[in-house]
Amino acid sequence: MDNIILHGRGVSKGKVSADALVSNQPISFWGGVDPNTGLIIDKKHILYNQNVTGKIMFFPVSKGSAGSSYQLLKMVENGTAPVGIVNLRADPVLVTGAIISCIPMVVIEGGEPLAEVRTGDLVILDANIGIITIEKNKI
Amino acid sequence: MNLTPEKRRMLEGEYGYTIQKAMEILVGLGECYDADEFIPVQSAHLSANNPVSIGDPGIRFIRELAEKEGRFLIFTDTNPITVLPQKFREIPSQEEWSQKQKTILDVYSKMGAFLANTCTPYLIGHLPQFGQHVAWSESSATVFANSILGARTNREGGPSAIAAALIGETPAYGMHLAEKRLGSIEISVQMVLKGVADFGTLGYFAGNLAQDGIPVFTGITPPVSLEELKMLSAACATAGSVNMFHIVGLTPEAPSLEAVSKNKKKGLESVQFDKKQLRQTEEILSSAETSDVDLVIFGCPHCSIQEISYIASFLNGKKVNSEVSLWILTSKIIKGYARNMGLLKIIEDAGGMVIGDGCQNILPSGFFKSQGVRNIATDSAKLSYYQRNLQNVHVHYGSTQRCINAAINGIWR
Repeated sequence: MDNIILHGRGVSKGKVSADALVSNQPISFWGGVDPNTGLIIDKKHILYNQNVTGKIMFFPVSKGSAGSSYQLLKMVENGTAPVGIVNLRADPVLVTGAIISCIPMVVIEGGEPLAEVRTGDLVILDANIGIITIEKNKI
Repeated sequence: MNLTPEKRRMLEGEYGYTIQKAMEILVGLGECYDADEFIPVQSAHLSANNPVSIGDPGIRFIRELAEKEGRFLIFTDTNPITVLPQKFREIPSQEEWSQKQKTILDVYSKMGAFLANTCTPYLIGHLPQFGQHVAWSESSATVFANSILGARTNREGGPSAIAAALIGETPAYGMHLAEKRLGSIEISVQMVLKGVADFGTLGYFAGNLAQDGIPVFTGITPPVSLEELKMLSAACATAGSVNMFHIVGLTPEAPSLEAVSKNKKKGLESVQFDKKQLRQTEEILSSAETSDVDLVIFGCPHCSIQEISYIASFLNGKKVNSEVSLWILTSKIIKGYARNMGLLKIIEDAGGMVIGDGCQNILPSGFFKSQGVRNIATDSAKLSYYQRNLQNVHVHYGSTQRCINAAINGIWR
């Protein structure tokens, strides 16, 4: 299978490569993710108990408290942060958090990018140019 | 963005570290949302000015801004702080938390902030006018300012509100633009809502559906109280990343459904909210497995004087159950108001506490467990969502009256 290339807008710069963690549900970093462990603690969330640490997170949009901006900064300090974020819509609270925490973030408007990527896919996220490569030829 | 030569110099660091940092955040947001230009903002409301939310890295971040000559150019005030209630047994790190909280307030004071320490600044005189551009963080207050006051603010994260306060301007995107303030989904309310909890339940339902869109409520008949609108705002911003809502025939930008519909030709997708949806949403917000109640909390967002008066009217001459604690959270200004009116005495005589400046959502993790609190009763949808996740407690969710009864009887009925 060929690699899949997605185009978006880099809203916080940087380039990383890591495994994808995908959800079609919005996520609240404040109260939804434990900054000490990186675990998703929202019991109603489809990714409950999954760890975001070191992952490139794909989800539609963030939600909830304005305190979420600093949550990413704390997670970077604790070594529990995701290494990249891909959203379908930009929430200023999370965009701000990604910028001050230097976590690459891309927003893809249009299409159905969440249907193209699965949890565990190896992803190269280049937020400098807004290009996401999903490696589908892993053995 | 089209940056003026001066803005470019600010971004390149000619005006120092703090201005450069603030500009990096603002230009980053502006480019993300295709903003062409900056617009002046009249006030800012900060959030996350507490050690639990921002942690040591956040403290370093704001301290560096202040030490490098950061000064707020516009009226800027603060959100609630971490207050560990005296009545509880000391937790080991109490002194450390208090010290960190003091550091944060000192840093913000130095930058020129007014220490309102409330999530309802609009109840104590921070009241932007219709059409005025502001930069408000605190998700519940953002929704209130846009929806009820008709002021214009995006959902600012803590750092972006600081950046706007330091520059006195913000990129013109999102809620600052008239065309972005149109509704995305109609919520047709088919029942009579009674009290703050019903409005919170509606808000949670709507926020979940709207996500980052703008719900338009129809079928709500005025009058609706300030407190109900406050609760609706908070719940919308908990379940989604809602910036604002409209209530047709009530909020200032919604004379009719057509006037606020994004798609004038096709109209909006419409979802019904009646007793069935109310009950289902209440179930989502209730997690307690036993009828025991350890703690009853009012004031998420902070109570108004009328809410405190209402609660006090039921406590007059009664006692809170010896197994239960009762907290009423509000600003210190409103607490003083309640003291002047004798309401504070009624509540304290009954065994309740009015906690000025505090917030249960920004207590150190594990705090309630360490105090033996397992079940919390509340009339706030926002509190229910965050407490369950942040403190891992169980929640009884229901009307203010039901919560008062639980405080007196010690049982959730």
